[in-house]
Amino acid sequence: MSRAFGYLVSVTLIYGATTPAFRNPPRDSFPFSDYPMFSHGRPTPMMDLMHALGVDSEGQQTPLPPMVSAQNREVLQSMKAIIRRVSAGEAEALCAEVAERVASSAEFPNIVKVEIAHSGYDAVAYFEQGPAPKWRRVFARCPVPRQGARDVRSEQPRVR
Amino acid sequence: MFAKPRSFIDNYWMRAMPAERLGTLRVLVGAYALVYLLARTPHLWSYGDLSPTLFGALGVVSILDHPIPPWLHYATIIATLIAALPFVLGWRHRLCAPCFAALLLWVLTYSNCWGQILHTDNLLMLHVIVLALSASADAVSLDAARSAGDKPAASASYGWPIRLLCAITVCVYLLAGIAKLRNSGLDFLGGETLRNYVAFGNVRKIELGSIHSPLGVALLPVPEIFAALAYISFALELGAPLALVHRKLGVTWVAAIWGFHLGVLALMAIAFIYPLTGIAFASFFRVERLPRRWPPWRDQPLSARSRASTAK
Repeated sequence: MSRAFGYLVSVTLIYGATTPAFRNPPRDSFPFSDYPMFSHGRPTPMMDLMHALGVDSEGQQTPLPPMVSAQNREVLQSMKAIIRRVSAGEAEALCAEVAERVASSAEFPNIVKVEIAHSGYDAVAYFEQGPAPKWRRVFARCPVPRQGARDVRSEQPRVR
Repeated sequence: MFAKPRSFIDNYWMRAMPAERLGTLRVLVGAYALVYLLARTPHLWSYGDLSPTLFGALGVVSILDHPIPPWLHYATIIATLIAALPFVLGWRHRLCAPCFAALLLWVLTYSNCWGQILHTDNLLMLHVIVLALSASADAVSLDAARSAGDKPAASASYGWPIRLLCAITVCVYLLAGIAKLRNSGLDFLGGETLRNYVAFGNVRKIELGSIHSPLGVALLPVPEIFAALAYISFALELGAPLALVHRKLGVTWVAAIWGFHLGVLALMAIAFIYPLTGIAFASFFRVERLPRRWPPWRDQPLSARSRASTAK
């Protein structure tokens, strides 16, 4: 292969690999990115996230894994999927779908309800004082449809 | 009498390197891509039946407004897996390798179109493109075995792709450092941001039903550690171009950045598998010596081998 071809490929790929960082605003894409992960200032440990929770008969809440909450093995993509569904006004529908997946999984025999919630945490206090959220807004709450189980009507979401 | 004048850049970038080194890099990167694709097939497959409302096209997939039909998605995954084989084996490289690179680009980009870009695959993709567009099957390949010609001499044709692999690797880390500098400034060095990221990342993993890092949690009460780690992270990322200056500097940087990824895994349970395997950094080494040394008993005389087996 000629030198000219070598230079052409080299300049093209290096240009492609470096320009996302120098665009205004910088562009995150694939395979070229400005690699923004973990780069933004985070001066406080306050954080919030949208997630799907399983609730047992005693009211204990368990975060549901990505495959159950969003049919996606990637943790972050599952969260984005929940955000998009809630933003599109589909929280109830999402809740029902998650409840179906909980019912069909042998992993959660004690889960009786599913909640789609937006929770706020102090990430450091979470480990030092306990995992209770600072605040939580429940967008949808629905029963897990188990065969032979008591028919529990979908409850109205409660906003705290 | 006078040698043809060559610029400094030409001397550096077009330095003659052995075909075996580039060929071995193709085998390593290709084998990694094949195993990685096989391991992630259930994951990639699952994008076939996701809700179209979650789809947000980017990169080469931007030509689409909507997701492709599931059958076509499954077909591209199968085609990519099949195309990986000739790439690894170096069979009809000029035709098959660009096809593999194009298919891999499509499949990996498509997997990033569902709300969140995962930066674990960028470097692998760029490396595959370089190897697919270069003469990386002139040695350590079926193409080389088939041609009856002499062993290819060291050449610039095998040098520039290796330089480019190293440069792209360095660029990725440099850009991550520039992003930190741009978005956080020197405040990042205080360690508070990094500590909050470790806490934040671990809470997020737990609350999204995944595994977290007990070590990262255990270190949260010691903020000084995070200040030190922030300095190390900054130095390794912004200092990455030094790895291109000299081979020994490059090897030292590779060892340090590999340790950095090990630290990210230990503190945040985030695995950048390609760098962690070391294959992402193979272009910084004389990897052509690997096949000569493997298996370890290969160069031993038969009598020595039989003595060793008798002693056992």
